[in-house]
Amino acid sequence: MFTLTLDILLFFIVITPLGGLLSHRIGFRRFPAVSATIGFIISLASFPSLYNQVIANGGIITITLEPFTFSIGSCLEIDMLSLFMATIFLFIGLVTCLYSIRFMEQDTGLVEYFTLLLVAVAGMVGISFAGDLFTFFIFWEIMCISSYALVAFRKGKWEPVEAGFKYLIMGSAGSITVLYAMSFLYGMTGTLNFANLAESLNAMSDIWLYLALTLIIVGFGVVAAIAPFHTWLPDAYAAAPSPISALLSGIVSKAGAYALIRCLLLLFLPERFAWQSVLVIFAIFTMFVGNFMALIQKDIKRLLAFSSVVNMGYIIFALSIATEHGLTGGLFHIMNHAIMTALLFLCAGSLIYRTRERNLDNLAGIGRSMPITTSLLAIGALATAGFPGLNGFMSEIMIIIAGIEAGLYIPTALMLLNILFSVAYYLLLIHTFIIKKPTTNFEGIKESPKSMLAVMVILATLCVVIGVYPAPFISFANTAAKAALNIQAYIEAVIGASM
Amino acid sequence: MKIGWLPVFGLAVAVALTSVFLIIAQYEFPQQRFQQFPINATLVSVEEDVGQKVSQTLWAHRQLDLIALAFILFATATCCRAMLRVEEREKY
Amino acid sequence: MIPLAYYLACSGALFTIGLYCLVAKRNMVRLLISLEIMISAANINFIAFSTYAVSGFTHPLAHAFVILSIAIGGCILAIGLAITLYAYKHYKTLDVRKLKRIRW
Repeated sequence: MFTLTLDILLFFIVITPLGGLLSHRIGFRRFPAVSATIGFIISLASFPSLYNQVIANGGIITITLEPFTFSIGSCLEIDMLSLFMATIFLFIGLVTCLYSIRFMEQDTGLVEYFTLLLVAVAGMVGISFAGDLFTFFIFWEIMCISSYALVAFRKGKWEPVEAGFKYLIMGSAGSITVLYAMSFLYGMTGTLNFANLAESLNAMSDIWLYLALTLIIVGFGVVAAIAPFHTWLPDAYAAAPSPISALLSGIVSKAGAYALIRCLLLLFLPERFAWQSVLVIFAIFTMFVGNFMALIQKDIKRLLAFSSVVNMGYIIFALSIATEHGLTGGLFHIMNHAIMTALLFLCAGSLIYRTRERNLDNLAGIGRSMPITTSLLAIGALATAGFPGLNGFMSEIMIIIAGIEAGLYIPTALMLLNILFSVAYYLLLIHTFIIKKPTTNFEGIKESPKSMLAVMVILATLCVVIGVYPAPFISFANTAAKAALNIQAYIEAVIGASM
Repeated sequence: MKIGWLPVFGLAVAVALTSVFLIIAQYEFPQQRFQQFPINATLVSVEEDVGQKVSQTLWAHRQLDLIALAFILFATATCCRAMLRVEEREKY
Repeated sequence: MIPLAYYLACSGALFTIGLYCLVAKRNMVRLLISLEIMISAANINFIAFSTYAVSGFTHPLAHAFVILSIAIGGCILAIGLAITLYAYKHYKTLDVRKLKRIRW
């Protein structure tokens, strides 16, 4: 069927709710959590064999079901970029699942929660494996629909419901815009296979292609946090349960960025100068909007949401450079930012779990009562600010160097300005939590539970390790970037070298 | 008559989109002009039973999409179950 | 035979109408209906292109896409209505302008 990785996730999607409902009768309430964690671990364990398979086949494999007519059949096409993204998606999914075991203990409906978590990650892995635009769209919808319900999960309060409704309307509008663009691409070529579309559309340019290009950038930009389509983002990230905020900002937005990378690099090559300049303007605008809005926030999760918007601006800027160095920096920043923002949101979640407070003024001085959590949050904040020695520094330097190499001097200078801006509110976070005197009574506030602490320690260790020894990770990102730009190999894997 | 700003904004967006469509419509649509491989092998005459051929295409060539669609429907059912669940105690 | 441009104009008009309703209407259920209108625009586009490729013939692949996209539209509507139900329980109104308790 699909690859072993995706098959295992789909198998556990069926097992978890069935077993969960059965074990609910027996009284064993932890079954969905345990089963989801085992699913993620087995899926990650099956990943090296897929990696070896792809490497042995020259960097790309194609998976189809017999009989296959190459222009109308649906297929999966896995190259190094897909493997890179799938690694990040599975790892952050596993981390979120482990954290949720303790965090969501008091909630009802845990069977549905862990099932939807598995569905969302399965959708994202399917997105990175898809070789046909319509297969891609169906897996995109799997991811989006499950994340609408995960944001609005705690429906007893008004805030998640309001945020979930806004997210649903704007996210669905984006998906439908992409469907409209797909209909135009189908009309021009008669197929929706990525390789066939790439071969047909790279021959000539037409004004209808510019229309399809605009609709695709707008449609995927809604989820990829491009301003001005990001307005659903702060509400949804703040109102969702904290592990789901980590999932959304860590990997759902990166799925939108991956969609843009795949579609723009493969399909719209002759219009390269058009979309490069448009994306540069959007990226700079996103960075400024995110930074200005983050400086005035009083709620910790809204502040982290806007910092997420700024980092997506960096990634879109790296995509718009579209050279090998730019893409390597962008993909490396995708990996780093997923880890850093998951760490930040999970630490904030621990603070909220213990104190039930989200306001920065009320959380002042919490570092005295919860020292380990606050120091891990400080590591995450310094990493995102670009402190040398941690992982954010390496990827931001790579993007800046690539921008200067490509000749985009003014946008690169603006990006540097934004990085310096953002240091302000990260230092504000550290100052508020560690140095300020507590204004609320924090008596009896213990440290975070051990299972949640273990997850955060793993992420912080990764931040430090990647910062100190980035070479293997950069080479992985470089292989992925080379595969993204290697359109000829992608086409030949499906059509064959005869064309 | 009080006119809120949001319908005016919506009208502006609609007018802009319509004008974009009208400008683009001056150029003829490159219907199938880009394709470099014939799709004639898979075409169906309108005299035949199109529904039968559509279902054959779906099941023969689009199996991966159908399996994924089954999982979308399952995910939607789980989402609705999660949203419409009954809370015994008012914790959150 | 009706020229292809008329079908393209129809789907473009439907998309624009759906987008206008999405921005300007207040009732939550109307916003969900406008999403359905936009999906119909894309579906008409698919069918029109498949039929006008070669005269007298149609391409069944587009019909397969339309079947799948109708199913997806139904799923979006289902989860949207579930969320609208709870929004009504909390805010006692279906007016989306009242959903502005989340401030800066």
